[in-house]
Amino acid sequence: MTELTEIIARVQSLLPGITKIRELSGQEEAQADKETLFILRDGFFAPESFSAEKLKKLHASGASLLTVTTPPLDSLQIYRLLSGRETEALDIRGLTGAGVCRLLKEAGYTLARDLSVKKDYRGTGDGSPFTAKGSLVNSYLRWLAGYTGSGIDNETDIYLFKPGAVPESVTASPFLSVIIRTTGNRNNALQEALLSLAGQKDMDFEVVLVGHRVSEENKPALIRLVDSQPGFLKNRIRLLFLEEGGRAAPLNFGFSQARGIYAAVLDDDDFVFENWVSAFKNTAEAHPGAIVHSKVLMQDWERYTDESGKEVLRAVGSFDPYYGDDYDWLLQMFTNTCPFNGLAFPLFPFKEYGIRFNEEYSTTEDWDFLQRMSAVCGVADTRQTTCVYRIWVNAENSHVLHDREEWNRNRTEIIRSMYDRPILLPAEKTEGVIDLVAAYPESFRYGSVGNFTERQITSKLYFSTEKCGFTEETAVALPNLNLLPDFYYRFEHLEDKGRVTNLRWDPMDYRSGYCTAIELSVEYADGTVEEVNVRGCDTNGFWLEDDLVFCAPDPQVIYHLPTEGRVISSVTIAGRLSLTYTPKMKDLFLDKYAESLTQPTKKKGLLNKLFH
Amino acid sequence: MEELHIQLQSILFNNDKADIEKAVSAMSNAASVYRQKGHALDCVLVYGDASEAPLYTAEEILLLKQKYDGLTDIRYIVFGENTGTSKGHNRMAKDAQADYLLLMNPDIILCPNFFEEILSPFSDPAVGAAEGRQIPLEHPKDYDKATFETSWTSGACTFIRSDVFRAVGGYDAATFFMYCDDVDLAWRVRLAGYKLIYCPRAMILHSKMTGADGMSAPSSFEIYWSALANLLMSVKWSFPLRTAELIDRYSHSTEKENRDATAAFLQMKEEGRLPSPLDPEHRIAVMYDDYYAPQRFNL
Repeated sequence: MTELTEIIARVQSLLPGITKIRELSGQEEAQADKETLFILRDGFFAPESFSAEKLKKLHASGASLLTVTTPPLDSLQIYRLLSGRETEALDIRGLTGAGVCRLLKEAGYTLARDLSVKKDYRGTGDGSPFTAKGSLVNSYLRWLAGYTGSGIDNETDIYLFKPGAVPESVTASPFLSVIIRTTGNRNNALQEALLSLAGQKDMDFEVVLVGHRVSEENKPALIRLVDSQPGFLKNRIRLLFLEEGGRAAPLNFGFSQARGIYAAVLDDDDFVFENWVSAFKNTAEAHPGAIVHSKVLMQDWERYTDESGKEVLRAVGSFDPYYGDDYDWLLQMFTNTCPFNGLAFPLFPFKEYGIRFNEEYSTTEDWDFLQRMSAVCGVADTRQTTCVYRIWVNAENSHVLHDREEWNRNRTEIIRSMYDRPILLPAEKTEGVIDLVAAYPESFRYGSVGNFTERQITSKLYFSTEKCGFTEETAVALPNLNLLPDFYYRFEHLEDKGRVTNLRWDPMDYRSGYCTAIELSVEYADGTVEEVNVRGCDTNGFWLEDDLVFCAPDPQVIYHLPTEGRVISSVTIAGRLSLTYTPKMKDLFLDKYAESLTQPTKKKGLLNKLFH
Repeated sequence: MEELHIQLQSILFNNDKADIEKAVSAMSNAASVYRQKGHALDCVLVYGDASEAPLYTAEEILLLKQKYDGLTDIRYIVFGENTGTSKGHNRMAKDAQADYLLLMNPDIILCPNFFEEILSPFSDPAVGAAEGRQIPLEHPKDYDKATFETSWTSGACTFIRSDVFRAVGGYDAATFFMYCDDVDLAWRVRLAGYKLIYCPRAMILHSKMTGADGMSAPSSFEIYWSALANLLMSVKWSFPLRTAELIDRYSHSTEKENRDATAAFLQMKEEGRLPSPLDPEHRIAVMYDDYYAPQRFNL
């Protein structure tokens, strides 16, 4: 196997201390030391000969290991199984790459390098979308396999392991690991955070307090603070120091140390209500595996120094339910609406798939992490208010510390990274997507329509009678007889339409825009002429002063005639037409759109960002 | 070093024992932390149980005492009746041999450095009482940012000199069952010439949930007793116009509890059971719209 020879050569360059390389089967005992690299193949892991004790002995000797195994199933077989069309008898024996990694991790080994040989996924010609390479479901499955690092596309699983620390055996996992990051200079606020945890109705949590780059001068006070907590809280706190990295580093560190099933993050100046843990737990039990989202109140606070030189924290504003909505899957793609303290994450993807906080971000690392996690886990709402997001009106806040330009830069990157991910849309959000598309005006979507004076604008008149509603068969279309932006239409010889009960004018065939100074005149067969008050007509547009504004395609104006109907001989319509909107119209549109949706404040914010 | 004697006291009423144990643990811990800083402290906890049936047996109290030895003693009195806050606290304070009383709700969790912070203003003999900062809902009443003087101290956690408490006659149990009894006590302490101090670093956890919109929704019980207490306060602190206005407001209220409270008040008036007015010149008692102190914000 030429590839293996090349890989061994690579291993030697990676581990220059290795002087002896040999294969080890399940049966034989080996003389091992830290200069030896053992190659373990499938036979080593065969159930009849595998011994966990032997792995532990190897670990104790300091030997490195290279595992070379063949996956028992490949991706094609897995996708076939999912499609329900697997016809071949499957002979599944041996360990997956993940299984090998788990065994070695339990023995104390650390994965140093994944050197697996990949194979191209070719798909099949059996027509099943689960296996066919060009289908949406297959592309999603393959993305998912990459997200989890499943290795199901490996021709051969090859992993290099170095001996590491033997993992601590944890007998009981709390539900929640509370990760608190502190730089050790806000102990007054940190005490408040800890006190709010002491008051939890459900105490099924641990606290991983990460002292991040705490100065030597501040360390003793931080240690004393933890030591001074009442026993029932102190027993739950582990204070760990981390000396390197940026804002996101203590999160990765804290999550890696967490022993819970879920993890939530508090900053050292956060505080929470008594239902914070219980709401997360109850929702996680109802929706296992999902990220859990709670409502968060916003409140203005100030901090100042009193005459004794000590810090005072003081609430100065009412609670604002700014983050009081359920998780909005769509809005969240555009901007972050979830304060970090209102979220709890399942730890499995972090620990097993290596989904980490991106330490290159100095801000918005929480949003980025949430987006990558939620792509697979989804989000479940507690529908409870569980904590407060403090706005420091006269002191540092992360949104003050980091300038707007940096926020925008990170935001752009996060949004771009979403372009590389397929979207798994929760079923209940489909309606929201359709609403969004329906309410999104053509002119906004494509920008200015361009040199529309050269375009032919066609108007159409529809008629309904007692016998028949509006129909294309009896409709009359006319080109504009004037030069845009003015329009003039004269529909004549309409007596054959019979006794008309409703008249519908479609100013444009598919675009949207607005009309000004509309004059609508109807001449009846009996010779009378009626100047119709267009404001009294039904329309799917809306009036803004003298302009009739249409936001959606297929604009319509409907004039209701007497119920017995009248015979019409001609209809004349004139006015001015514009296909682009004034800023005031956009604002009004946003208001109207926002009113129609369940979360007006946020939707308006979103739309403002979209259009301005 | 002279030993300081503090009596902590709370009224139990059908509480969750797990919550009580956390509170006891935090009190014991705070006392130990204070001693570790070199102070001599005698810290006794007194519980008055106003529940229908006693929450604790003598053995359980003994176990609590053994477990939380930061407290010098835990005394447990079964009231055998629902005393309300005023009467219950007065009864427990009556024979206290302490320099200070900490009058508090039973579910309050003290921060570790509570005693150091709450005691610091008392180096000034003019300070009669102090209060801690409640979390997670900080009380919105204003205080002086430099001197920390405040209009009244909350009964959720009032720290008061025992002699001052006794000198002003304790809580007015004859007038108040609950609510406003703390404002009334605080104003009488000020009327006696003492200052009240807000201690923002003496943090206490006072469980209080808030609705999704940030407003806390009062229970039926709270509406009734608050309305009655407001009416009684207006009489006791010489606000006759406010009394008339409140009667008008509550009797036209859509909430039955307010109408019932008005009826109860009028009944008391008829029976001559209303308190005698104090502070007619309003040296101490000042209303700020419906509030007993200026508000920094509305909760």
